[in-house]
Amino acid sequence: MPAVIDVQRLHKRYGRTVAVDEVSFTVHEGEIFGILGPNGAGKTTTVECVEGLRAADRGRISVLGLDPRRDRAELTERLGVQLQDGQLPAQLRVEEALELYSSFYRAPADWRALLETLGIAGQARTRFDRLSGGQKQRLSIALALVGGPQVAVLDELTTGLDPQARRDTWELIEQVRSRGVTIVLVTHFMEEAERLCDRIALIDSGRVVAIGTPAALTERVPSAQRIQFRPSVPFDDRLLADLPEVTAVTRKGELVVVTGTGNALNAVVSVLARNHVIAEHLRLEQASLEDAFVALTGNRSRDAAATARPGSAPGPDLRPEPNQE
Amino acid sequence: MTSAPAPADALPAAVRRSALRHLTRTELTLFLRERARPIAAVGVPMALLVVFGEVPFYNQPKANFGGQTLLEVYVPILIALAVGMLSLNILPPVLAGYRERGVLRRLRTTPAGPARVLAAQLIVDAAVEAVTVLLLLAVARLALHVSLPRQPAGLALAAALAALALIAMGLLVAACVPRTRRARNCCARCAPRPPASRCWLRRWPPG
Repeated sequence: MPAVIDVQRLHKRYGRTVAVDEVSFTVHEGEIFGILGPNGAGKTTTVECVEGLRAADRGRISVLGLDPRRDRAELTERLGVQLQDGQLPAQLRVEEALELYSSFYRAPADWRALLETLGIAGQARTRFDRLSGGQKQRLSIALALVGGPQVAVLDELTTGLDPQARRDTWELIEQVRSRGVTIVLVTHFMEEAERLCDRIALIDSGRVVAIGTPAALTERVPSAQRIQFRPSVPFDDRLLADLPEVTAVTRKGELVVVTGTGNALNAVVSVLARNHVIAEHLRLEQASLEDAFVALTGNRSRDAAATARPGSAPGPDLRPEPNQE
Repeated sequence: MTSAPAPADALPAAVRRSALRHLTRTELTLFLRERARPIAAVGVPMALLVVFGEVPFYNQPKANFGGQTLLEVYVPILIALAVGMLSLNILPPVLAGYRERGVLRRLRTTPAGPARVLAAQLIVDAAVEAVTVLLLLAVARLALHVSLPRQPAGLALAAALAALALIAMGLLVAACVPRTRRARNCCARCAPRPPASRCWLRRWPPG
């Protein structure tokens, strides 16, 4: 797959604060690429450099083969941007905004159809300051797409939306992608990244900590699985504890709790079956992207987690070398 | 305000013109829709003209004005007031608001760019100022029997230069003042205040 966005060793500082440090990633055509990280991690600065709104101090950025600073005119035709907190004049009506913005482009999309797709056709004559948060967000997406872009950068898309509006917006993003638009999604919502993104760059303190599919990132956290069941007949714990995939077996009353890595579930279930033990009330808890996030983003979040649960043993240090990926 | 180094030159001229035309139309619509703005820009000078035009004292020829009436001297002052009202009281808060709300940033991500919305704004301002001046002159002549300026070209030039100077000041304020409210306060303080309109201006932070 051809690279739509290629960022190599991007570096940006504000005064003495390094906002983005040696960030590299590649976005392929047609994918939803997530840039995930805690607030203040440098996500927005990174995409602002990609959009050409900021000049990088060092590094190379190519978007659709264009230089975001030098080839601005061409880039703005082909890259749609939804800014964090971008508003419109309060008195501007939805249809006026879309008609206005479509007049900026060589080959604009049909804004009326866009209104339908985004479910705000009923608000076409509503003024911007009378729209709800979700409607403003939809309009903002519509404005990012009205030029018929090949790539869309959406920054903190669902912040401040209620859960229903958030889910609707996610569906919308998937629709947009199915029309062939490559999407870069900036977010600090785990659930959003896990649900929408094909690949994610995890950014913390201005550095890329990991890049991969949500599943691959999650797998990087060992002790990922917790299997809990009630055995139909008593059995010796060692049956399970001796399995290479199993790291611990504990009992809580009638319940057996097995923690393990990778394919622990398969191994446990087949051993139990061979020994004619039926696992009742079987429950599987898998590490979520959130666990991976906490594990991979280092001290700050881990300390916070440890303070929150003083009883729990400190987890293994999972932070990889920063330049591993 | 600095503009990006001509990023839009790659755009076809037709698209560029159409973007500016749409922006200008939109800015005019917004100007009219925000009722405080036309009232302040056109209504206030007009109201002052009509009110003082009805005061007999203003209509008596004065020897120290070379035989002119107070009203005849007041019309040019009102023209300055009208121009200043728009340039200093209305323009800066609008532009500061655009910056504050991210309107200009959003435009930067489009081929149109933010410079064009400033241009549209200035076109609308210039047009409204021209209309206001013509209306003032027409009402003064037709309803209040003030004689028309003897040098229309001179008046046009003076008004245009005054508008340029005041718009420049307004733009400077808009560029330097970080927030809408402060832009408003700042301009309410330095706006032209002929004695009779002082109370009006204090209560009229429009826009």
